[in-house]
Amino acid sequence: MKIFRYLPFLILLFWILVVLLQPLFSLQPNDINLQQILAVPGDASWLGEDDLGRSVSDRLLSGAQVSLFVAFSVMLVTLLVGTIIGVSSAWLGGWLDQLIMRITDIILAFPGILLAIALAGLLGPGVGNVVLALSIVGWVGFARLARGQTLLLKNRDHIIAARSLGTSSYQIILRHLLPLLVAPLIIEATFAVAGLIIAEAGLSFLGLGVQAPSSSWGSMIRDGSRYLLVAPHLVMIPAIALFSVVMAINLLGDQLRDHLDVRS
Amino acid sequence: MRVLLLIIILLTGCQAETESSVIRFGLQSAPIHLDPRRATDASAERINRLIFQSLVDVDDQLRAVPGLATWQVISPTHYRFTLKADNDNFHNGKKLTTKDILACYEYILNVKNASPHQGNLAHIKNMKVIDDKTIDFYLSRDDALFPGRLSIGIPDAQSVGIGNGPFKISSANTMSDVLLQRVYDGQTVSFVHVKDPSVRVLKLLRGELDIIQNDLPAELIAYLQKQDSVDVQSGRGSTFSYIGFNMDDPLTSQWAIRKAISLAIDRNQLINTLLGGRATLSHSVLPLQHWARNKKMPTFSYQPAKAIGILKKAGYSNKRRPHITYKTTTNPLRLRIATVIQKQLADVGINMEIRSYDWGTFYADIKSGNFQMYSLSWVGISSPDIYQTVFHSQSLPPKGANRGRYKNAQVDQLLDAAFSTSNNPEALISRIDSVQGILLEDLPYIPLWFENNIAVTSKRIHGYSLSLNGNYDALAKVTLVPQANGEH
Repeated sequence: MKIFRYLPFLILLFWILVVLLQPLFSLQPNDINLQQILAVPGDASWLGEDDLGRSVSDRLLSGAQVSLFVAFSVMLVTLLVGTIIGVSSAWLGGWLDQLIMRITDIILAFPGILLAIALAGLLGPGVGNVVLALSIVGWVGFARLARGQTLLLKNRDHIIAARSLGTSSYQIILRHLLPLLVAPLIIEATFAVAGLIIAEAGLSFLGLGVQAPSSSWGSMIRDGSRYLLVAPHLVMIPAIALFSVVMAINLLGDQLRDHLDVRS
Repeated sequence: MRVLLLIIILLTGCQAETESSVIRFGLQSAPIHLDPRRATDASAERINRLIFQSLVDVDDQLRAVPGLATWQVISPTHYRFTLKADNDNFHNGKKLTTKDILACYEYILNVKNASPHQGNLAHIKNMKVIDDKTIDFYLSRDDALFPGRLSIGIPDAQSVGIGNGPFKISSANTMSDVLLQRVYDGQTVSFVHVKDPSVRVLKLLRGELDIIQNDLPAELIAYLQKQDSVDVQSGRGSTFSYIGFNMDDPLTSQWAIRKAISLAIDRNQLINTLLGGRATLSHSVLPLQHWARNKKMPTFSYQPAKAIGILKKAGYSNKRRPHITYKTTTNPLRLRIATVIQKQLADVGINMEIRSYDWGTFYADIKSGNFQMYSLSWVGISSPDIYQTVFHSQSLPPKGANRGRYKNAQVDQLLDAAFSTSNNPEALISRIDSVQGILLEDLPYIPLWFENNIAVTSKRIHGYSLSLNGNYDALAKVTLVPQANGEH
């Protein structure tokens, strides 16, 4: 069943294309039509209308942009920052390594989403602040992984040889260490993206994410949950979209791990 | 095994019996204090009215009427209150005397106790107990509305949780679950905090709640109206919703901007769609029924073309659109209203950005003047001195609630004259009329509407009715109807 193998990739590709090609769709996600409040899916509107008579399909597609932008930008920032900190910490060792590890311990000791909520609350609502809050919390996972891997790799023969030949630390890290770190970090990044989409949804659900009238999947679920009794489609549709992306990314991560695992 | 089964049956049987005899009232927000000297939140004030009685109450026109006591005006700064002969004793059997009243107001006036009512009563210079039934209040300035300020429940001087209202506290381990017992027949009422409106509705339909009141989206009310197992009541309310402006801000201090906004908002459309028609258009802070309200007040209506003209005259155009930030809470209804207003303002050429905050952050910003435009409601307005509190230039926070920093010498003069006109209600009404006229022209506030009160009760509740200010007084006479389906 090859189709199931490619399904996660196809789902993710679909949403990435939706985000990239959005200008071509001429969406009207903020067009209010008070006569169509909570209209059910049908001929007039294929995914129905929300609590202000706005098209759910348009808001879903425009919300994908916010949700995926937050997830991928936080992933890139945390991957970069976490890797630099983790590698530096393991490479330099000594008191700096101790200090950085204690800081990561402290951050890891708090539940990540709770800390992000507190930070987003302090910084105020908005997409930029959500990216910042999730980035402040998210780098520690990458730093831990990069440090552990660097500690394993730094005593390998090829790195000792490069050091003996007088190659600079910068060159060793760039040419001999990072290529070996890429595989575990990318796998970690795929799982992080799935977690970040859910975290953005959570923060938007609490009113700390995008501001009205913009939409994200989290804010759509939050707004829709108030009408579960009268218009369940407002929750079901963004929830299914969220589920599909998170599932696809997780499955892709699994496949990538299997592919890069030397034992398999 | 059989014994265990028997115990379980007996235990669950007992629980069902106990719970079904309790009237369960769902609250959107739990009361913060059950001490009437400190409480200001709506839930606490409404519950406290059931436990404690006050010296003065208000009638249907929100006019001050005798509660526990009648009063005489000895001079503009000297009021004498005499306790009625038929007052109930405290729930512990103790007789209510003027010593309890003195203790209550001494506590409020003591700055160390930081009572939120202190500012409103700060002009009480002295109090003197004449005898068990009579007490004198001496004021530092004359105040025609003074009796109306004494609507705070009186607790027993020795035990603050004891009042002489129709209910006594049975238990209040947490503010999320307060249990009261009706004094005359022992009927218990449980106030249960259920924040989410959908959950409140589900609990009502499942029989876990018997009464819910207000804080429901229009769509859920329409849904409940179709259900056979509940009754829905709607009645006029006195909760005043408005839009406020910062008069110190370079943009919102411009009359043209405020006027254009007032003409660009289609309040009727908002009421009919987002509020399901359950609100009354407002042109003033005071409700229609209020004794001090001018029944022939000037009004304003939705005129987008005129708004565009005013903006054009002030030098604005599509290329040079004013950009205003609108602050509101994360309350879903307030956000929906803000989003529609944003669209309506955009149609006349005003860009509006919505910023929603949790209540604490939002309220702190409003009090400190950190806003351009915001929306809020006044709950339970009864005294016309609300104008003094909100529009007098000497009432800037924390002294008063002039959050928009509105300053108008003519308004100050009229308000000063209005509230020092002891025993002359006609002169007071005429001056308030003039103030209302100036405010509608100046527009430091845009009046929106008075939201209706909504109560939804299960079929086993009989006799619950709504009041103008949304209080829960009707619980004093509510009865449980025995259910025919075999329920306990």
